[in-house]
Amino acid sequence: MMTLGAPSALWALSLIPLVIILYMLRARREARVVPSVLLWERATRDLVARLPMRKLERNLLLLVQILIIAMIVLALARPSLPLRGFAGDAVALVIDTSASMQATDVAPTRFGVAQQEALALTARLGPRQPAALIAAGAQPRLVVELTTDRAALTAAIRALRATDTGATLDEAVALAVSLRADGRPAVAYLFSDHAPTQQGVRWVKIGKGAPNVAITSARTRLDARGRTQLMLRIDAFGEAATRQLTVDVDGRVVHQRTVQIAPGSAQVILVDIGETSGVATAKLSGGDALPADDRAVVAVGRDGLPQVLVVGDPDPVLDAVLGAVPTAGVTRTTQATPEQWGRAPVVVLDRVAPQPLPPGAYLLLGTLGTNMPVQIEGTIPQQTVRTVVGTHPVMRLVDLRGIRIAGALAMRPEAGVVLAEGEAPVVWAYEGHGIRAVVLPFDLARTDLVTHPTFPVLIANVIEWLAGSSDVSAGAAPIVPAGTWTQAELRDPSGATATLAAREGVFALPPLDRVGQYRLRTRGWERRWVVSTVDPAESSLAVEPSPTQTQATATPVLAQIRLTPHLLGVAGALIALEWWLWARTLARRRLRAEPS
Amino acid sequence: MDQLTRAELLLEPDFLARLERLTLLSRRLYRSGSRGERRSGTLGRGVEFADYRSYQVGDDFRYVDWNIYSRLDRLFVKLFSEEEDINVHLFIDASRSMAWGQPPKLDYAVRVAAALGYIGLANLDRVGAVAFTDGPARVLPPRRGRAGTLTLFRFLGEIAPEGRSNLAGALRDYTLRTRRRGVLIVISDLMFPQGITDGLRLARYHRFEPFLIHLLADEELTPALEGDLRLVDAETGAAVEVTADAATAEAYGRARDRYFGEVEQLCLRLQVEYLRAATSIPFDDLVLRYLRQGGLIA
Repeated sequence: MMTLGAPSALWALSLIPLVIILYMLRARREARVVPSVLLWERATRDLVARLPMRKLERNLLLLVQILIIAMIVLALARPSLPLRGFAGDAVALVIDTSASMQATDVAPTRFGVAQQEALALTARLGPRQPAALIAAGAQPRLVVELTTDRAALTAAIRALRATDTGATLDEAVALAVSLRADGRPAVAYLFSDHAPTQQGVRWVKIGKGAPNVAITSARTRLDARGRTQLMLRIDAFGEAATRQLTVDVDGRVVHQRTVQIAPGSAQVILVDIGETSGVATAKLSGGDALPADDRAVVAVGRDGLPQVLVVGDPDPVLDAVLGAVPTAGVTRTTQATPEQWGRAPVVVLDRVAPQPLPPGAYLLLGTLGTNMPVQIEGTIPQQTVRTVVGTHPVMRLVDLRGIRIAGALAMRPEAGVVLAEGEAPVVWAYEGHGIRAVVLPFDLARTDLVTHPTFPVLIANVIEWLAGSSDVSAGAAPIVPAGTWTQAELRDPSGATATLAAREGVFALPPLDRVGQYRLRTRGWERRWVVSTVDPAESSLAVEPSPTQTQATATPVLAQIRLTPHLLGVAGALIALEWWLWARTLARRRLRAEPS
Repeated sequence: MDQLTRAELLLEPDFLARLERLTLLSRRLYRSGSRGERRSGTLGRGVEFADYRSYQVGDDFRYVDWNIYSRLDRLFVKLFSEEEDINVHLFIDASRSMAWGQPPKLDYAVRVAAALGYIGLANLDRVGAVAFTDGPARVLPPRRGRAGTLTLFRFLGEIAPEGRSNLAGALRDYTLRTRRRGVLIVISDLMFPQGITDGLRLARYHRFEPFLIHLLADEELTPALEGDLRLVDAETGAAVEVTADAATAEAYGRARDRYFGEVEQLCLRLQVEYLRAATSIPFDDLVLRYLRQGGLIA
């Protein structure tokens, strides 16, 4: 059955009556005196006897013009005709791998059903019909490029796993329709419990909706006594629930309680962890349709924080501030070589003579790396900070305006971001070539910054940005300065390990898509990241129909013969015919008009 | 003076000389009351011997063949064919439609009439002329002899196209007006809304010998029209809306041929000689060739 890509274009068919009206207006007859109409009357009677054919001939131009309009309008409606027996358009299978696809409201899970549907569709593809596979997780991922290798495609579909992340469906669909075979875009099939917002995508709806209770947020904070408190938010989606909450730290149960939640509401629960360090796990007992969000994991205490190496002359103020900000520990030295710098997760170089920096994370105080893209144009005797960039993570809750600085290096950065400046940049963040650095180009002793309340906040932000936060959301893909290390081992929450190689001075981690603790270990240091909860947006298991997207089924994909080019071709031919008819008529008239 | 000049110029002197060798033919001979240069069906006082018959009381002794009497001892009188003239009526359509054509049909008709009239006058026939529209608009009574040539030409030269045409009406009036039967040469485009049947029947009824010369302009045979037109009749003002294209041209051709066929059938049925000619045919050819072939002149 023919389908129309833009049926609204058919409104333009209303032009046809307009043409007919114009035609009728145009047909005003010219009076011509003849010797006698005797024979003309007889001829007219003869014509009337042959009226049907006569009318057709007489209105040939009009018919051609109507046909031209009809062809063009139909072409604008973008019709296509599915034909069996032809190699169909390429197909891009987009499978939602987000956390909600783990829901068990359909057996075995939504993701399992999506796999089955995708496999069924794959089995019905034509033998020469190319297909691709895209996983729609935190980031869309082209798992299999367009191929006719059914075995590879089937194996890839079976190998996919649902994650604890959210889904970027629109990006995945955009990736799908950008795939082209023989110059034509692929037909995108989305297997998901969420409708796409884009038109033209065939959505195979998965799941039927179910109530759910979820831990949607888990954070820690230190109270005034230095004790860690775990803050949990529990949401009930769909119906009221009574669940048992258990919190343990490294397997030791520290808290248990019963939680009652009204439907559609949330509860925030504070749990005192104490002064222990480790990994706290909160669990909700009792089953629901999505077990993945019944669990939350957080790092407590100093577990997972970076070690900091301070190189330079002793600075009590700096030491005091570094001791106050969250780190796993601060080591001070005056003798460390650049090779040793690269082995520490975060290095603070305090007025060290400028020299090339090995890959790593640096806070540079009153100094610079000679391999950084910056020019030094002397010093500035005195300046006051006038502008700051508040959106950068380093400047969160930091306002340096009014801070006075003496003897700062006059930097002229050629890359990175200037975060604050007076007469010259005074806070510069740079990331490139394996180096992540924040530069304060002045001596802390020659500024009133250290007396300002924002100084510890600034240093804490700097350390966190340099080391990277250990609390990450599901699907984050941290990039870690590798320092002098070339290899690292990544262990995921299930205990599986993978070896990462440093590239351009960094370890690029894959998306951390499971709730739990990830460890990246080199021979010299270990970094930890904790994915606390599944993406909160995934916990609602309602499957609502889309107002703009119709649900499709994984029906056999037929070749869609697009009729627009053919129709435009026919319209072109008709225009040529119409022109020819008109020119012929005109030529005849001119010929007749010539005196004999 | 202008009319005279125009009349004189109707025919070239050389052409007139060639016409003098021609004679108007008639299937029947009509008694005009005076001797002409035509052998009459009546045996009488002519010079050409025809037969003998026995003498009857009252016969003129001058025609008794005394040689036969001397041999056979019986009286026989010699019979001679009596030479008679005929009446020629030139009936010229002067309606408005005759103004069409290149040359105009009326000019062509006038020249044909002039030629035929001259032939008649040169052969001592009585030649009269009528310019008719829906009646005999102008009439030149029959006259005899070469002396009538200039009068005839002047009459023909003054004919101008005007009004509607009605052959039957014109003939009805004319036949009531004249008792001289003879050859009735009708020169017309035959574009009569009332048709020609009544007119020709009337002529036959009054024992005229009609000869129909049907003149047509090329644009009537093959109209050079194109587009959406409202055709207006030059005589009646009647209008016909047509879309002149190939199909219409074909239909016109069919209507024309059918009309010609009807005219031919009618003439055959009423024993009317019929000759159709386009004005594009050279005038000399029409007179010296086609009219001779048509049996009007010899």
